[in-house]
Amino acid sequence: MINRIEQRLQDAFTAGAELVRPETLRPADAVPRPRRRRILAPAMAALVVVALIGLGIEDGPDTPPPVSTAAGGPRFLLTAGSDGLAVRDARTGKITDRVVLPPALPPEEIPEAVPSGYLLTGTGYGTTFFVGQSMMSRTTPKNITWFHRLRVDDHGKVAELTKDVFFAAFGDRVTSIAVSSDGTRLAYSQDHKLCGTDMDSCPGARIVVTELSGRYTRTWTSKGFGNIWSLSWAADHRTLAFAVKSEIRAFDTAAFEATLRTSRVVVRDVATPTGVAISPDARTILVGRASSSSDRRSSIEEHAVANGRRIRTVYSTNTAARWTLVRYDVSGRHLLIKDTVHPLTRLDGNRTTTLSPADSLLATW
Amino acid sequence: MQSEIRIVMEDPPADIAALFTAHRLDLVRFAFLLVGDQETAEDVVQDAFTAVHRRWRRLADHDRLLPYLRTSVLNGCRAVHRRRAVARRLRVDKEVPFWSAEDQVLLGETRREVFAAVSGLSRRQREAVVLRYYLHLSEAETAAVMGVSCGTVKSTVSRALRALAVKLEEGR
Repeated sequence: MINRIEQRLQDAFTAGAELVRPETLRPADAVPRPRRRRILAPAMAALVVVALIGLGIEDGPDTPPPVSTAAGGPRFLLTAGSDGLAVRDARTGKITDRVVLPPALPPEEIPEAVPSGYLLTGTGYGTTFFVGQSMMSRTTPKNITWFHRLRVDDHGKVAELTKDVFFAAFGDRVTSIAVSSDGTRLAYSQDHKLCGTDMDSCPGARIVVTELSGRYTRTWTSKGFGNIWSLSWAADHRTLAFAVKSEIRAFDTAAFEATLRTSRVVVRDVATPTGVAISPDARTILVGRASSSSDRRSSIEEHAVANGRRIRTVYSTNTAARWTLVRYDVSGRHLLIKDTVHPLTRLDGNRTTTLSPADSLLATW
Repeated sequence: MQSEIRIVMEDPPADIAALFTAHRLDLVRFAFLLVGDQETAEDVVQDAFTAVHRRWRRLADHDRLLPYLRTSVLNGCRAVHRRRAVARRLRVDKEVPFWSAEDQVLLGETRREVFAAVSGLSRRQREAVVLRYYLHLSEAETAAVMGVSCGTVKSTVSRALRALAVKLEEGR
């Protein structure tokens, strides 16, 4: 029996240790000082906060840049394009593996179902991705979206594909998905044009947050709210950012009386849909901006969540394009961006790297 | 002469850098198994390397740096547990979950049972089984890292295995 216990220990320790993956370690050249969490730390932190508030400092005199030129960041990303789903090296864009999802079996409530595309999200580590696989009925306005999880190994090969890790979304089309950085909490948005037992048409929008355990699902619906786009989570796993109509909003999903309508408007007068990403620390939001077609420029602007103040332009192009993707990695120091004209691009500080041909429509890391 | 001195002074960082590259991941994983979260594990390992760097000139045997680092990491993990215990008593900190929900799914039921059983062992027993069955150290090496005798390691591991056998067989 002892031998069997020893074998189980070795197996469990090996598997447990491998949860620490090499690519998730902090960059060796940017290891911060260790945190000495003393008992007095909360009191000291409170004193510092009080002092800063007293001095009227909100964002600090020099807000740190959201992206960095430091080496590192996610090693792999998942893309979807005309040639299907592919895992790519996040530094070169080279395909490391193709992803073939299992055939979808739509329920009877979705008659004459046909595939209607994918939605992608990831934990930001570049190793765990989630795919929303949708089907729509050709005869009724009904849809279903399944959520599958994909893990890749150190070589960028698919190591695990788990079907239906979250409850499927049924009814209207899912427009955006985002998973928290620990991979346990999925948020998705629906146009919510269907409601009631007969799935009648109702105006409005809906955000659903569901947990991997299946024990927690919370839904917020708002009539006449407009379609929701570009969901992204902060690292606190409670703050969601999204675009709706001409606004960029931040939404505290853990607040007791939270509603979509009372969520905080951070930026106004934005042409949607557009790429939006809240920083992991929930202090800033990146917003894709397209200026008028006359001056043919588009940019990604950084705004403070607290007051909506524009901080700076993170990236700009001389093309009047619409941003379809703005996504932070888990550290908040590397960005994945794409517009309707240019190929998928990785942004590390001032360094840009083109990662894949323009036919890659969706990407995540 | 001045340049020779400078070169001698620059040697330790180069050696430590090589050591860091070669063993950081394994040490973080070792610490992770003892403290349960990656961020703290990385802090502990960074502390250990900082200690080696600081005491470089006082370290007698530079060929035995890895055992020294392991001991340093082990001591760092003990300090983390002490701080957590104090924080829990004063209710200023919450218990750090050993695995996230996603990790739990990835580990599977059987391995989670093992970790649950291991978490019920005493601190010394946990350290001994991780050193023996994760790092695959001999009894003598385990004793050196833990700072106890070989006999203590043997009896500690033996008692830990018996306790685990009871817990894991009960769960069947």
